[in-house]
Amino acid sequence: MTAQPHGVETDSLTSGMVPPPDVTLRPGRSAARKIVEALPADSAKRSRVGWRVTCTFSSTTQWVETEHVIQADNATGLERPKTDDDTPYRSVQAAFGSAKDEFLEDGTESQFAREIKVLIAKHRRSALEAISHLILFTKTGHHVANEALSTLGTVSEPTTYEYRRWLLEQSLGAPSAVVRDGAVIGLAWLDDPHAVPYVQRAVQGEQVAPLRRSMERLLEQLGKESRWHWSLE
Amino acid sequence: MALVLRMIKKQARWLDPWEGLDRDSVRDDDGPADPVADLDTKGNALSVFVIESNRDNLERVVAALAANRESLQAFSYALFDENLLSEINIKCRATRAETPDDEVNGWHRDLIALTGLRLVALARAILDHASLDQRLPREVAALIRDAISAHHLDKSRCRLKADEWRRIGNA
Repeated sequence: MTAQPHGVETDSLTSGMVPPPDVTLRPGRSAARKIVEALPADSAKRSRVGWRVTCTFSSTTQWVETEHVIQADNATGLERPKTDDDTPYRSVQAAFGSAKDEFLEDGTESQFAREIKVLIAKHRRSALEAISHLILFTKTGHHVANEALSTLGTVSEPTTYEYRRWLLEQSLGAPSAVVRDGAVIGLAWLDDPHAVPYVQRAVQGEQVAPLRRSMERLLEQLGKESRWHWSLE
Repeated sequence: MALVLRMIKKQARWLDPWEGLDRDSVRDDDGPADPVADLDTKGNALSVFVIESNRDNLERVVAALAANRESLQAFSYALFDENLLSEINIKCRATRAETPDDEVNGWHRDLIALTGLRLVALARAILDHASLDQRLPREVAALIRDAISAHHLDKSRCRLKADEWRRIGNA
């Protein structure tokens, strides 16, 4: 019998979504788990985001690899990302905590946005793992997540580009319209046609009219032949 | 029939306005607080712009308002029929704005004599009857660029930071 790590459910959900670049989850009890596929939010209920993962378990004499689905709303199988130095997570968490008290508005760069950029420049992937965890597992308020996602599109740091794009694409399926709105703005800054199938899928399921219009505008932008080279570096 | 445009500081604040509230328990003359927080008054007045019914001047207003901010970002607004104001007993007065586009400034109106209850009524009316829209950053950049080219915007009066002009030039 195959071992079943706590909190991991088998499921037949599939999707065409790609895994985050090089994401490896913390080992569970006896499992090394690697994300092989990200699952979209349930289109009807918008109630979950999860990952298809490979799990390698130690049975008595051999390692057995199986596939499982971990759901965000049953996240006990996932641990928050941790590095040798846990400072990045704490720093990101502190920035998200402070942002709750900031009045966020378009047209003025927020203190929170500036902090996010500094943290990514400093901690790169570790900062992105922490941000992903806080947003995908709704450990932060929707409006703070919105601002963080909007900001991710404006970050120039190149080594985290694919991870940022992945998080933005995943967040188009977030249960909260506020979070999805942040993803749309972030992807608009990236101006990367890679996001087209994700946005097309999101438009089809979007029930909030202004947000659906934003997604349609994003599709129109991504369909342009020329790309927007806005980076100031 | 003319339309009225009110700039929205953050579209996200209007997308899930009933978050944390039991909508059925909120009185008809009351409403959620988040949208009200987006309608910041000065002297009990609120700034809006008149948009022609065919919306011919809409993008010019958007460009002028977006260029009047420090940072190039998404631009959100609510658009509603001007009759909505009389229905909720809100008066308006023609006053000039201070955007970098002088013609746009002439389309400015102040909604005046606002009280807390009238502001709630306006927020509720926008939620129920207005069209919310959001222009994404690249489109905003292109609108500003085109308005500069058409000599609608006085670049020297725009509040955008110097770095933003490079982004606008590439849009």
